Amino acid sequence: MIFRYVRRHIPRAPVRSLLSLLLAAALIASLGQFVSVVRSNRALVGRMYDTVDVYASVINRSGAVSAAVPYAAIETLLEADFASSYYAESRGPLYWVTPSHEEVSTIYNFTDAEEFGRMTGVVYADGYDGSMFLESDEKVCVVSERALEETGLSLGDTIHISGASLGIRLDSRTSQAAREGVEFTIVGTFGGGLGTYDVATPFWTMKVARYTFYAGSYEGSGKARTVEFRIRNELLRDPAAYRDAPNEALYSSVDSDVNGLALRVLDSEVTNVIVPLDRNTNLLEMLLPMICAVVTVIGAAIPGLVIIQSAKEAAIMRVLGTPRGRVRAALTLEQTLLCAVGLAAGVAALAAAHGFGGEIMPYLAEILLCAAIYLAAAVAACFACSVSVSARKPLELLQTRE
Amino acid sequence: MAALTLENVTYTYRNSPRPAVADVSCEFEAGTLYAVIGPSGSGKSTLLSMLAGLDLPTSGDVLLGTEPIRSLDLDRYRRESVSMIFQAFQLFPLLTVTENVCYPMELVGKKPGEAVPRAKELLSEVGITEEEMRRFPANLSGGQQQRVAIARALASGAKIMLADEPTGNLDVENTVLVMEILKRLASEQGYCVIVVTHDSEVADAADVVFRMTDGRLTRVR
Repeated sequence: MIFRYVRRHIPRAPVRSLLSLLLAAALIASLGQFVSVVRSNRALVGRMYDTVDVYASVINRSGAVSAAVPYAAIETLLEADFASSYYAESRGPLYWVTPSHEEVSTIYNFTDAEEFGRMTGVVYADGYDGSMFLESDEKVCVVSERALEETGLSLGDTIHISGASLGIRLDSRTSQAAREGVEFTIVGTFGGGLGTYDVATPFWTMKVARYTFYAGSYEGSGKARTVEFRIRNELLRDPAAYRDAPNEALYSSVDSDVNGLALRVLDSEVTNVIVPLDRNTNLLEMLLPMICAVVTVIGAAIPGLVIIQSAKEAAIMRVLGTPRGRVRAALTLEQTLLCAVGLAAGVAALAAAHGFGGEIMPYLAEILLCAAIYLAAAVAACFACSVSVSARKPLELLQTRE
Repeated sequence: MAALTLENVTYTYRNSPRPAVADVSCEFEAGTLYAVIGPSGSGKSTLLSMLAGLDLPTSGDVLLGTEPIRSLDLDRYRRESVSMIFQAFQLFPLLTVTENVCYPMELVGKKPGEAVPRAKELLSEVGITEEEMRRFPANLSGGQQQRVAIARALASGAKIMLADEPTGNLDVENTVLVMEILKRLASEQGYCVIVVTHDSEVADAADVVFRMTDGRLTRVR
């Protein structure tokens, strides 16, 4: 009988029924849209943090760009573990030394051949490729094809490079190693871009160069002319981790060549774009539960008010002998049904507005949870109001006051 | 045996210094049209409320036959033993005339197939046409609505009818029509009809008249 009552009631009060339905639909669609905006913003912020490239370079603490960065500073910064990768290069003078021959050339040390770029047409021996410049810990090198032709050397042979020239008088400033030189194995050749007798080696061999070459030459004393660090993306949410920690590592070094340096981070995209978006999203996330609560209260209050307005009808039912429970059930069921249909329609409309696509589907579960909470609150409010209405004295409502 | 009996019935509202109904004792017999007249605030509505089982006396008893109604299921009492009609008719606005009259029958479990023919029969008896039976109450005159209300009151099968100012919103012609129906129900069909009114002309149509003054009931005629 209750279902028959509700089935008749809903279509015969079309304006009231439609308003109840549309209210629920509009509220849940709006709330759902807000949820999807907040969550997709959060996802976007996450993606931005994960994909943005932020680089840092080394400067003097005075603010001037450092022309040379000691290898020790690079090692210190790498130990601070803030970088996902780095590019560095240095160069220094060297001498190809053979018993009867010497050439003045330059040794290049770098971490990435492609990044270096000046070396062209590189051919590697089997088992070697461009990764040797960062990953190999062998004393290997790449020389020019012409140098091999002129010296008669080939891949796999070693070359002897030294900081000392046959024609230069060895003195106390020249290290033993500088006099004796270092053996490098040839594992590749380049076609052009550098001098005939220039040599390209992995970056770590710059350390070798520090002790190999003439101590007075800044370029030969183990300093990189270019160093750029790529900040680890997972640290970008914490400026202290990628700004303060590496700088602290530099400042606290006992090496005076190191503690006079600072790290300059080029993170304007993070500070000017991502961080403000992150803050706004934080605010929206804080507001979200409050907005959910407000929407739920409104959504529950309106059907409750409709039931309160049905007090007279409830009184008629009571006077005719309808049990209180049945009166409450009839009043509650009508509004609950309208609310449930409205919520379903609202969620469907929201999904349809997004073309049932990726923008809304990841958050559908959360939106449905909001709808479930809304419906539960509406049912509770309807029940509470129906209890209140059915508890009133029927004759007070039905008798005509004079 | 009386249809309804009041035994020393008193009703006092909470926080009220004096009773709205004070120590009323009387009997209402089947086959009789009763009128209870009195000014506003005399306790008529409270008396009616207790007769309908919507309120229970503070002291004393309302008896249905010999059974105190406080020991009965009052919802069932209102479904099967008493019915009510009101000054403002109080029909369900979103149910048709026929559905309004079917409601008390559906309440006791009758299927629509059984209830609808009986409803139409009752409506015909009170002068409602087939076409009017399909309308909603708002599309009927006051007199027609009150007759539908009477048909609804008869639909439950209850033999005690309580009427609260049933002619208050009617013109003279419809007042006469409604009172004739109520009189016929009492005299020809054995109903116990109790009409609460402040209209002395309505009271004139009754077999027995009580006057309610300051909560006390006295028989006038």
